[in-house]
Amino acid sequence: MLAAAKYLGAGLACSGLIGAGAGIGLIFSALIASTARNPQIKGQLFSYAILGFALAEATGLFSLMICFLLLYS
Amino acid sequence: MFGNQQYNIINSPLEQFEVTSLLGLNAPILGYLNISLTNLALYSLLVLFIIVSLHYMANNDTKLVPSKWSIALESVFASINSMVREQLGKELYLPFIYSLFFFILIANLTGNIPYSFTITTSIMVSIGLSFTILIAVTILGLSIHKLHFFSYFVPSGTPLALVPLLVLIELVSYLARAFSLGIRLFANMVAGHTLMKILATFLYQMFSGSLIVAVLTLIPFTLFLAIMGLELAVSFIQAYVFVILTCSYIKDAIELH
Amino acid sequence: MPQLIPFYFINQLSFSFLTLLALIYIISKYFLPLFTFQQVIRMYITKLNNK
Repeated sequence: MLAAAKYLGAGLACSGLIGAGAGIGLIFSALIASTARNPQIKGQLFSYAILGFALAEATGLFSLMICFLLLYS
Repeated sequence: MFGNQQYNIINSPLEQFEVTSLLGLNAPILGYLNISLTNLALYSLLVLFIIVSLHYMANNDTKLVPSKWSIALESVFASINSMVREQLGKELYLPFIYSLFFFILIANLTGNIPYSFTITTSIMVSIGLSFTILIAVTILGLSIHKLHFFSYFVPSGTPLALVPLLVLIELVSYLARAFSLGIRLFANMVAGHTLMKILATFLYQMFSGSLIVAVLTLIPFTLFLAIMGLELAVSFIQAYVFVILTCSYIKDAIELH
Repeated sequence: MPQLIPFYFINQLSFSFLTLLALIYIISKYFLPLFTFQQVIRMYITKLNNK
């Protein structure tokens, strides 16, 4: 029973990755759109996009952390 | 039988983060002294050795015409230098930022070698690093601005009724930086390495089956190689993000918004 | 998770911080001046060429 609840909780915790995926998609779509509008500042935009990508990915990985904690500890 | 086997497989992937003692010294001096060379200590010394030897080999005898290695190092130096200048305006913090970047980068990259240990997957190292940075930044702000530093927690132009609420929110978000900076690095590294370990276990089982299955497994194996590339990129990006956030925290303490 | 076992916490912290401090000292003392020196020499040479 407890093991089943653990696996259910781990699966539910993984649903936090939905938001991270949507956020990463939004960041790169905005990068493509703004590069198409103004190709001259491509390098600067790309560094900002990488920063945003890492920040958005980290929020998803927090929930993945909880999932691992539930599964393996 | 099957359940037991599955339990073994599913319990293994976090074993790689275990800190074990390689060489120990126990002595009853100064109360109870216990010095042991753990694998984390060995790998941190290895990181130090790699960085110093990289800089030593790539300094090119200070010739003016650069070699391949010195071009790489100089471009890293130039980008970090421009980042520090852009954010802080002066070069006082450049040695700290530069060595922090190289420490995290080489630590992450050595962790990608199979069967090795990553020192940033230890929660004590990454959280301790971010806590130290936050405490240092707070002391820096207090020493520059004295009591004016606390105006950081009250955004300018707020009505008086909202001040207690806003101070609470700003204080919580200021303290959350200490955790989020370390946990970001830690969670990225741990999640990546655990994922690789699980995938590699599955691939090993499929490769050790029959011949046709082993040939068909080459298709997911290419995906695994792509994930390895992503892991290399993540270890670079995390070092960059850690450094750039440290820069912006120092800037916040110096300029107060 | 094996990271949460508190037996080696002090050991981990002291070793990693000692390494980082040694790294900051070595880099700021020996390697960063070389980069700056090289850039200064390059600027000087380009100025000589322009005259």
